[in-house]
Order: sequence, then structure tokens, then C-alpha cells
Amino acid sequence: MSAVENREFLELRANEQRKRVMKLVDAVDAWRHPRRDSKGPSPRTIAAATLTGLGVIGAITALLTGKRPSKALLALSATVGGAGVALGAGPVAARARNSLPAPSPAVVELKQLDAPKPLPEVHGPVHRKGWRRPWVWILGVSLVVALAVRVALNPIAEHFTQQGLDGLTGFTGTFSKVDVSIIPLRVTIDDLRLVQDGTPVEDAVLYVKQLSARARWTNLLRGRLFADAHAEHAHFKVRLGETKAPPEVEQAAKEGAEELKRNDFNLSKTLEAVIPFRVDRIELVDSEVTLIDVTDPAKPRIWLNDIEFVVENIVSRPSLDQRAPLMVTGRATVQKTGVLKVLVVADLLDEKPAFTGQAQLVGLNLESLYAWAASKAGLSPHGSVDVFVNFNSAKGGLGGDVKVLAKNVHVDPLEGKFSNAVKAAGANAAFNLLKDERKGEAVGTTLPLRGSLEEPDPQVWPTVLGVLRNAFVDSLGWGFGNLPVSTAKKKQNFIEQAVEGLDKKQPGPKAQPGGAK
Amino acid sequence: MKRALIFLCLVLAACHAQPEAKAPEIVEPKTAPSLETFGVSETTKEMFKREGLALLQQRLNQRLSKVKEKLDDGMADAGGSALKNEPPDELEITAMLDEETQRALGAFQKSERLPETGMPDYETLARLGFKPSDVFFRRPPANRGRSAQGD
Repeated sequence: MSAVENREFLELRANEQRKRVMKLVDAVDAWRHPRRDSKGPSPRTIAAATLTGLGVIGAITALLTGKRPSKALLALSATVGGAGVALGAGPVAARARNSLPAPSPAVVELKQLDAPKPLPEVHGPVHRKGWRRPWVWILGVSLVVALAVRVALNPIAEHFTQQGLDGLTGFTGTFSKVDVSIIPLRVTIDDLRLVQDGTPVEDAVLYVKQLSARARWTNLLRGRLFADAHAEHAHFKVRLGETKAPPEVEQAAKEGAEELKRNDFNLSKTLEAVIPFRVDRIELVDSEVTLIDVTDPAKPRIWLNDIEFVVENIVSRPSLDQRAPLMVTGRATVQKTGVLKVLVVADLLDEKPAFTGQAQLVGLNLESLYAWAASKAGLSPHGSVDVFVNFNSAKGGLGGDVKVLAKNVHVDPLEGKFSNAVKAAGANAAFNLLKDERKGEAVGTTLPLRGSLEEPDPQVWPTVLGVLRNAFVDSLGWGFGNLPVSTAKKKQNFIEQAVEGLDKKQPGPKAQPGGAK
Repeated sequence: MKRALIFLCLVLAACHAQPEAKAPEIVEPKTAPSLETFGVSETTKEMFKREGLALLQQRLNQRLSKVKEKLDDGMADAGGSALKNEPPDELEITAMLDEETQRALGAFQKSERLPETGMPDYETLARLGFKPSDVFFRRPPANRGRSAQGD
């Protein structure tokens, strides 16, 4: 290299260093006072745009990841976005008014330095073309990868869903579509059908028009799963005597029952081993259940429709609950006439599950049960029944009461058998004996419900005595005031129960200690 | 910077919790509650917070006219089957989950396209502006008072 070339090279290097210093000076100056004709956006503008963008993204995330956006995230996003807007507002307004100051001396000098000069070939081109810049490549590759993942996501989800369904022994599972969404994180399965092998498709054990599950990114990023699920138009069809649960489910249920019997099953400890989770809500909307007794030639059925069912607040750690218990609520129509309502609150994370709840079946027309009554007893029932159940449990024990109110009940025998006529006559005689003349032909009783969780045990004799008492002693003026039925101090034999239960001076039949019948 | 601080103050002021609603006066029923009332038997009477239920009934009363308008316009019908609960005109503040309150809740749920159970589930409570703990105790009655958090 000659001396001239060497000097040119050194000058170029010096110019490059000078340009860097000038750029830095210009950047600092531009940050403080954005100027007219400045090349590209000033750092202040970039910072303002970044903060505003972060604020907008934060707000969108807060709105997308929860039905009720997190107040903290929303406030933070608003603060960050607002700071960005405040930062950028000044320069933008000044630019709009064309009142930005003239370019700084550093920029003027930079322009002079950037003036086109022939450069020696050995140093190569100074300006790179856009497509050679690394960030363009990174951005492009990221976009392509994101697009490919999005396109492949649904087929992958469909593959694994089918694989999961194929793993059920004795059942064939199908669906029409699986759709996966990233924001919000959601999986939707359409037309899910589960058919027991050897039965026709129209007798599918389960058909769900749409099943979707959703999780929240905000909580996933914090290492815990908050999710909810929604099933629409689910139809469960159980053929009694034919439908069997998959062996895997039966085995799991058997093991669970054995652990429960050994008394070493601790749900709280079991759940602590898994990822912290909270299932906010499981919904069953506009669904139905059909029970068919296929062992009977008449194939009588019971139909529950319009089922609306919600389970909320299932947690794996007490700290994740919403300062409220697990809740089960539901409503359904039974045999097109009776309305079934359920409300249960529970604490599953205790050593033994504890729950309190209430269920009601109101206005069940017995004529709607004709098929069952005819095939099982040869009788045709008339009238209606209301059933009210209250229950309460703790430490493995179960207490409560079942109140039954039968209105205008009588039965007709089916023709053909003398025994049917005898049964009908006996039943009608009992109803006539027990009915209350003043209260609309109704018969009522209260069944005490006592026992362990493994074997809930409605006690027979207190129940029978309750019928007699309510009919002859108290008539039907009772409410829930004296429930649940109190428990006798020591176990009574039938005679003692009968004497006490029918004595008008006594409060009523007593449940027997130890869950004895 | 000043602008950012002013904006921050405005945001914080907007996020400030609303003052708690005053509990309405509870009307004690003259007759025994009907059998369809939830949470009144000895077994289940401690499921709900009485004041919370009263506030819920008060809030439902405020919303009933809008709910009826929505249902009359057929806005809620697109999402589900026919209305199962005809909403009452006004609820008496009995602090009980009686049959009328269930109907009002069911109608509200229908108008919000929620499962129409007629029961105060947590999502329904949230849409009425309540937290679960406003109406429910944290633990079922049997487990209450066993821990510091067992309210």
C-alpha cells in the first residue's frame, strides 16, 4: 500500500469516527429538541411510539385474556400508553405547526461528511441494501414461522384430539372440526360424538354440538392455569344394561373408591402435585340426558332436557380460590313436566370433602312416568310429586333431609292381570288413608338423610313414621322450620321409634345414631 | 413529565373503588318461606350472606326494567331456547333466594346469554357487580371457622 493510499485509508477511518460522534451529539440534541429536517424519527419519537404501543398492546391483552380485564394491567397499560402520548405530543404538535428548530450544527456537519465521495474499492460499499440487513431477515423468518405454525395448528390439534379419542377402549370418537385460537388461547371442537362399539351412530353415548375450552395467557405466563370450558347442546344417552364406561374410567373409579375406603385419599395433597390451576367455570348449555332401560322389552325412558348446568371455582390450591367455595348450580326439565334445580357449595380441599346443598324437583307429573310404571309395576300413575332435598356434609359424614309432597296421587291398574288390580287397590287405599282433606289431596313426609359419604343412607322407619305423622298429626302445615330431623340420643327399636314418632307431644320421628335403619 | 403525572393521577382516580352500596332494609316475611326457597332450612341456611342476598335483590330490582326491555326486543333469544323464567315486576327485599328472586335471576341470565339456572352463580354475580364473597361465605358451614380464612 502506497503512502497516499495509506493516508486516504486513515482519513476515511477518521471520518467514520467523526460521523459516529456527530450522530451521538445529534441524537442527544434531537432527544432534547427535535429539529426540522432531522433524518428519521428522533429517539424521543421512538420512545413515545414504543410506550404508546406497549400501552395499547397491554390494554388489548387485558381485554382479550379475560372476561373481566385485570384492573391492574389495564391501569398499567393506560399509564404507560399515557406517558408515551405525553412524551410524543410536544414534538408532534411542533412539527404540525412547523415550529421545530433548525437542524443542529452536528447534522449540518454530518451532511457534509455524508456528501458523496469516491471511495476506494478495498473498503467495499458503505451503504447496505435493505434486504441485507439482519433485522429484515429475522422479521421475515419470524413472520413465516408464525404463519406456518398458525396454518399447521388446526391439523395438529385435530390429530391429537383423534389420537386421544382412539385411546378409549370400546368407544369410537369422531368430530367435524377442531379450531385452535392463540389470542385468546382457546380450543373448540365441533360435533363431538362418542359411540359405544356395536351400537348405531344415532345412539351415541355422547354428542356435543360445540365444546370449547379456554385458558388465560396472563396466568399461564405466571406458571398457573386458569381455564374455563363450555359445552353447548350436549346430549348424553345412557342405555341402562348396555352402556358401559370405558375400562380406563372404570379402573380409575375403582382405584379412587379403594383409596377412599382405605381412608388415605387426600385430594388436597393429590392436587398439590399438579400445576396450580383454577377452573373458573364449566358450563353445560341447552343439554339433555336420556336414560333408556334396554333390558325391558318396552324400553321405557326418562328424559331430562333444557339442562343448564354450571360448576365454578375448582382450584388446586386454597390460595387460588376467589374467596368463595366451589359452586355447582343447575336447572333441568324432567319428563317435560318437573323442574329440577340444584345449588351446592363445597370445599374439596379439606381432608374430607365438605359440602352443603339443596336440590328440588317440582311439579313432576306422574303420568309422564307411565312407561316406567307400566313396565315395572303394571300400574298407570296419576297426580304430581314435589321432592325437596337438603344436605350437609363434613368430615366424611352426611346429614340432611328429603321432603316428598305427593298431590292428588292415585294409580289405575293395567288390564290383563289380576295382580295389577290388587296392587292398584292397595296403593290407592294407602293414599286415601294418608291424604289431607284440607290441603289439596296431598301426602307429605320428611326423610332424614344420615350416614357416611360412602353409603348415604335414608332411614326407612323414620321415613315411614314421618309419612304417618305428617298425615295424621301435623297435617301439611309444615315448612322447613324443624329440619333436619333431630337424632335420637341412643339407638331406638322400631316400637320406641313408632311411639315417639306418632306422639303429638313429641317433635317428630328421630334419625337413629350410626346411620342404622 | 408533568403531563404524564397528571395522566397517571387521572388513571388512579378512575380506578378508585366505588363506594360500597348501602344494605337495603330487609322485609321479614309474615308467613313461612315457601318450600322452593333456597337456603332457609337448618341444613342450608348458612350458605348465603343475608346482607349480600339483600343487596343482590336490590341490584336486580334496578336492572329488571332493562332486562325486560332486552327480552322483549328479542335480543337475548338468538343465543338459546325460550325463556324459562318470567321476570317479576319488582322483588321484595327478603334476603332470601325465593322463587321470585330465582325467576329474576333467570331472566337476567337469559338477557346476558348465560346458562339460565336461576341461581346466583359467580359469573352472574360479577355481571351484576358483585364479588362471590359478597354473597357466599368462603367455606361451607361445616368447615367455617376452622382457619383464619374460613369466613
